[in-house]
Amino acid sequence: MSKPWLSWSLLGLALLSAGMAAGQEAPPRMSEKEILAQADEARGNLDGVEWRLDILAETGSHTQEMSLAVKARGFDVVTTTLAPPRSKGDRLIMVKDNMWFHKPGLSKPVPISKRQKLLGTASYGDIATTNYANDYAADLSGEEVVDDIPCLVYDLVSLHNKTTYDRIKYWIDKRRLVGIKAEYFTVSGEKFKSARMEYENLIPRQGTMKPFISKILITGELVRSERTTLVFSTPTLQPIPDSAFNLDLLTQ
Amino acid sequence: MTHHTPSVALFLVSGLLAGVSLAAETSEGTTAASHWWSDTNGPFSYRIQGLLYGIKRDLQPSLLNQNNILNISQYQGTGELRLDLKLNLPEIELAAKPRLNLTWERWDQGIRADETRTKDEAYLNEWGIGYRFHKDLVGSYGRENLQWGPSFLLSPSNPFNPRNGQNNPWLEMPGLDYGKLTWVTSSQWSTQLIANTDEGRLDLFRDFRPTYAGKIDYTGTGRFASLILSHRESGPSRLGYFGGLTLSDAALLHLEGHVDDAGRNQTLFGGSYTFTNGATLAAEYYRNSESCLRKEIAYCFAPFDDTDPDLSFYRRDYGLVQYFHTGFVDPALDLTLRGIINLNDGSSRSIAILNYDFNNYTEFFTLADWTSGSPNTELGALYRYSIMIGTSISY
Repeated sequence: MSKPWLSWSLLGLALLSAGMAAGQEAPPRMSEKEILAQADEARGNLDGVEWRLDILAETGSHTQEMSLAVKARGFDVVTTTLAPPRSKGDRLIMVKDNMWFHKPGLSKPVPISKRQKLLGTASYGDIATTNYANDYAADLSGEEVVDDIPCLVYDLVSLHNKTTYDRIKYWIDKRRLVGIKAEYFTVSGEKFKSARMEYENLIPRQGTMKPFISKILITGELVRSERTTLVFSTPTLQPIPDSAFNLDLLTQ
Repeated sequence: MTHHTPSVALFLVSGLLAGVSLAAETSEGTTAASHWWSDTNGPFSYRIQGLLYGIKRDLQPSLLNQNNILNISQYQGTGELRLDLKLNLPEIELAAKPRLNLTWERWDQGIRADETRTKDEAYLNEWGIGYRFHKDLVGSYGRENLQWGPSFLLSPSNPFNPRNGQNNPWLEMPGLDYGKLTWVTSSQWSTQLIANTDEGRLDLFRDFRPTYAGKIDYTGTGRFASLILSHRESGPSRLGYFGGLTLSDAALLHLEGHVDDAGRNQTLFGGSYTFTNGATLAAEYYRNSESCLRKEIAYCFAPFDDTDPDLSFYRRDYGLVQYFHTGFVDPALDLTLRGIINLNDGSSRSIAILNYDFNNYTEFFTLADWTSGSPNTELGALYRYSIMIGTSISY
């Protein structure tokens, strides 16, 4: 005698299991590079995005503040300092891994490296759009829970010497595929900076709203009293022409 | 006293405009900055800077400046008000940089010994109007300090003014008059046609003659290069060039120079390295083929020598070392050390700049500049040392 209730129950159980599997955080069949590329998108790498960046650097009892207007397209970035008044109008231009700093009126634009300090523990490379997917070889070293968020933990090793950091330990939120924690190491293996990232901003991508970077807290590991907080305003997405990144036009 | 009535009127109008913008910013609260200084959210931007500084110079008695014929004062006190105003509309851009300057000077040495002088001046150091014919095609005319190139010592590829003002970042470089057409053809390539139509505020040691240039710029991944073909009316044609290479996140290399149709050339190459603490060390070598290697520098100038009066340096070989450290000792303190050596006569110039960010508006700075070398050498012929101390307040 057939037992239709058993068949229906087994089918229901199978569907439930499939549904639960689909709801799990582990990304289905994505390569390390695809996961990193998705995490990169949440930190820039768009056709055109503009935002305001407020930076607070704390070293012991000393604090410094800075506000920047940021334009980014792909991995190119132009910033204009809005505050403090003594730095107003200063410009950072980063185009295809070439970086320039320009202070209005006083002198000519000077080439700078990604490693040069912006403010506190933040270097100029920290405000650039990340391109970890192409700049680093990723090795999944395990899974950890950070602040109740299940994460994939990657060891990133630089593929060339133009990156800001030689080695990064990177925690990626399994559900949202965004990097929420990072530790940065020198060539000698010494940890010298760590960072926590938040993604309260949302941007439309491929028909849905995706999380976008809203805050980075950078802590110096060598001098533990050094903390730098970068707060990103709501981004505005719009195409940016080539001329917006032209050094001659930006410094005239 | 020096007076420039039209400039004064323009200065006052500009000041009024800045005052209106400041009032508007104050009334809109803390978020107003994003409306009033922004490339993205608002059309108007401004910068107001007040400078107060004093300079003490100790002159070198020399044949080049016998009895202080160059009129270099030993004591100087200066107050400057600098306004930078810009209006950015979708197709039109207007800019003006009016300046008000009050200077007191005193002479202890030479023909003006025991004299004092007070001078006030109002002028437009830079101004301009730009029109955007297309999103990537911009035409402009105005007065500006047009600078380019990666070098720290000077910019030998620049046919208009190779002096880049890096010996003293607190003294403003003069603006010259230019008409320009800039076409950004892609993210990699752009071209500029430039006509220098007037010397503007630059003091030349010769009669001014217009200069025309075409500039092609290339930006690749971790590298950039430019070629500048220029011609001065009744003067030489020359090919300038500069380029740079990003070796790593910390190391950069650069090259800059020119060669003219008479075969004279200038070449500069150098590089920089940034340490993990953020401090940067740069070094450069510069060679000038049109050099004057006579024993005494005084004989390198007319009527004794016909060396180009536009030259920044008159001997042949030079070296530069520069160290820059933000957050030196204290997070608010920046240090720049700059050494220039003349490799032919052994003279040298050393510059130390300390800059302290007192608060968001105020900076204190000091610049010590001293030379070594006999009075017959190039860098030792004018003064032994100078010290500058000052403050800057910005809004």
